[in-house]
Amino acid sequence: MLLLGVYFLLPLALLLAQSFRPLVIGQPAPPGLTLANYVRFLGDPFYLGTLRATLGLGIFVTVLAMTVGYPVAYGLARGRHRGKALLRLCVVAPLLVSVVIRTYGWIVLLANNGVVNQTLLALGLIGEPVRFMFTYTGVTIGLVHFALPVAILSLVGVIEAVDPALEEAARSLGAGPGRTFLRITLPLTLPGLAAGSMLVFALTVAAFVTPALMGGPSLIVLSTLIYQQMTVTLEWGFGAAVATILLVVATGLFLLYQRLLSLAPGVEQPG
Amino acid sequence: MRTVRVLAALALAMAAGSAAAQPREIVFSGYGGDYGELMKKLVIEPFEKRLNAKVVYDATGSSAQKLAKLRASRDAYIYDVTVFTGYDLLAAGREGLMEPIAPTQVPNLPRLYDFAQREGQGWGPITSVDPLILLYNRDRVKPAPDSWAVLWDPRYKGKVAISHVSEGKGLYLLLVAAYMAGGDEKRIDGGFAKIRELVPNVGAWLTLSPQYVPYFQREDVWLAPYWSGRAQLMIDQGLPLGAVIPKEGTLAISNAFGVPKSARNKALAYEFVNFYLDAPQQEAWARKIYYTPTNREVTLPPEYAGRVAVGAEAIGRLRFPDEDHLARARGAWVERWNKEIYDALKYQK
Amino acid sequence: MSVQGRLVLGTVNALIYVFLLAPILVVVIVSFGDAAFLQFPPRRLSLRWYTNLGEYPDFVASFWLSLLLAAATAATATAIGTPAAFALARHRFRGRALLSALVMSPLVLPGLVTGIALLQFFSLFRTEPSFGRLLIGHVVVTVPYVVRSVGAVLVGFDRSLEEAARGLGANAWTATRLITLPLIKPGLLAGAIFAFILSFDNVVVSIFLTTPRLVPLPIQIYNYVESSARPIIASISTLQIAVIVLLLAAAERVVGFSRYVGGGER
Repeated sequence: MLLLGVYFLLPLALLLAQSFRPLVIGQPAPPGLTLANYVRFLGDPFYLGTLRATLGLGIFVTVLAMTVGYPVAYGLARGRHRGKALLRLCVVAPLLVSVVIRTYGWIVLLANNGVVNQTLLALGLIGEPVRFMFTYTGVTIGLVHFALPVAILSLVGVIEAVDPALEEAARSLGAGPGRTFLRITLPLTLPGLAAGSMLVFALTVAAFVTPALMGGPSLIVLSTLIYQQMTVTLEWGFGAAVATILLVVATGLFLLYQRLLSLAPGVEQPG
Repeated sequence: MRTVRVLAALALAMAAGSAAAQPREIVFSGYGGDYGELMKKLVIEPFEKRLNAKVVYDATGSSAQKLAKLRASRDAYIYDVTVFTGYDLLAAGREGLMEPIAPTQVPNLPRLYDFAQREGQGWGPITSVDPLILLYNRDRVKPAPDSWAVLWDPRYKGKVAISHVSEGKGLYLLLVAAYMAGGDEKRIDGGFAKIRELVPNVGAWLTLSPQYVPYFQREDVWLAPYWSGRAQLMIDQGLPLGAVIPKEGTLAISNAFGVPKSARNKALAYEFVNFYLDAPQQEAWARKIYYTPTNREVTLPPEYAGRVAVGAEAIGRLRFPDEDHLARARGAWVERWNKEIYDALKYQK
Repeated sequence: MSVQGRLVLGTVNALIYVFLLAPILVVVIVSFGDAAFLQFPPRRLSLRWYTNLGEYPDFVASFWLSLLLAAATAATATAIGTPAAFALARHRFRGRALLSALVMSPLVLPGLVTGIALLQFFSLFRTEPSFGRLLIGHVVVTVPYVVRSVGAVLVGFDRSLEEAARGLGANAWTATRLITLPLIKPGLLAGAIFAFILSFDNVVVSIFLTTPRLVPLPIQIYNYVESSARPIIASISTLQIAVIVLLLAAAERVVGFSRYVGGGER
């Protein structure tokens, strides 16, 4: 714990220190501290827009991944059919291949002349290709794909822990499947849902490769900005400030989320 | 059995990580893929044999990432000699990270064209240059284009691929656009205006160079500003593409070698740079990877005409931007590109 | 569950599995192509990019390194993250909520920043580039998974079981081993598997911590695709999936781990 603290907090402190450093390109940094990097970001509507876009994308992908992942996790937790071992491996499969390679797969499928568009055109379902690549939809698809395994794995354990007898009891007392789910299963699996959605949200806002390869210039997220500052413009002070802002805002959101959950009836605050 | 050996080698490698470097050994930081394979075969193997030395190949990272890594390491050792894009070497040199290279250390320097002998204040030689060309689908773009203007042709709406200005190809496209608008790297406004006009034609916003391959192969795009050497490799691999230097002329990017101040075995690093600049290696490199060599003694057989710009006359037709200015102005251009293209797309909708 | 309910759930899930596997399937198909570049669909099928694997010894060495690194990361992250999760779940102290949110920070921070910061930090102290650096980098970014996963199962944990065991004369260790560990095992294993897989897939942190002799597989692949579109990366990726799947299947035989991540027959 202490070791981790040292190795994580020290670089974090270094980052924080860097974000207050002035920078003149091509020269060693002059002495002194400055808020200029933060002012540059917070005072510019364009950059504030990228912050909103990043958070919006994060929330959207999280909601989608948890919603789509829930039935799969439920199936895995409750299903009794054979071949389940195989299905379990299928869930983690997307994570076993490098993100660049996965993205190549998406290019083949989602390009204007890609497999999906050609199939839809051949079936006469669309008149002209649907644009997926370099759109919000494309980035969302790529990110949800990456986030799903994490969403599913965080849910399976907690769904299993819910005694099926409880669900059956509710049903025998006349509750419909929807009501049983809302009153029994969902509340009992809320800790897993909470843990999973925090992981997915963090992964999404930090994701760099998928937005870079599948998103266009109309969707600039903070990780793209940070990448540009760290490796191209070399304005590390600004890059560090952007990273710090992302960290502070995300931590704030997590706190808020934990507080909301702790207000939900019958749910203890997740650790 | 094989596994055991690999694991044993790994264990050794880990142990070696903490031991002092061998006297006749350097780490060379290059690129991966075709570049790495050819570099090992055409340069490193002969060098090791000739000088009875060992070169450890580090393929990690693009030029920009290598610079970030060097900058974060400061004076802690990471490698002895590295490849850089010209403007990245300049940036590294200006930050005091590079060791100057003079003819006393690298006797081959005077054999290079004048412009290539020293990057910045002598932080290393330009080892090859590569012009930005127009890459096009031979079946779809007819007649074969001969002007950059074809990128803006409304007939090719959605059929052009370009890169962001934070990438070399995007940066050089911006420069080409500025020259077309009557400006240059120091009068860039016209370039940005032309890029905004290009937006409706852009169907793919790409980053990595190999990322262009699936888009061209699936005919999602038909046209792109691209690097000459890589374009020739794609043509060699059987894609139905053409590559042309348009009649307005073009700009070339430079590849340079540098030795960081933190290098451990500088003497051998200089020998390696010198060896790479020898005419035989430069020629072999040009034949295989189609980069323009900067050693003036290199000649290529006639079948390479039109595929690699070789010789004083061909090189004389290429334009070279003020890289020092690029290294300085790039930060502002990245911000401006982000904002202007974002705006242009919003307006388009 | 009703028959219709099962049918709907089954159909929806089938579609989601298709979505999960589709891009991977493309890569597998491409790997059996004959062309010199990534081509889909392949014009002719061939094993060319498998038979010439011997020409790419670096990939093989990197694969074993990544496996070792991922295993070490999973073990270390679990060892560090589990006590952290216990501390957060069981002790009430000021700033607990904040600390619990801050635990996520290594995940929120783009890996690139963590990588550069760690490299600056290591360079400051002149530590030699080594396996240890990579391991530290990977542990830092995977511990949050363990803390969250273990934390999630601890929420519903009934402490009276532990107390009962103690009351029956078990010492702390016995109570932990017999009661606590089996109950938190699903979270523990889920966390360890997250750590393993995310270490195995990490590019952005590793890129700043590699040495020329220690190149994890994702970096080796990234270096390759950065300058070439040869199908070798498709066949390497295919083999990568195959080996990991076999290893996971073997692990399942031995430990039965999937009962804890994927739900077993009960």
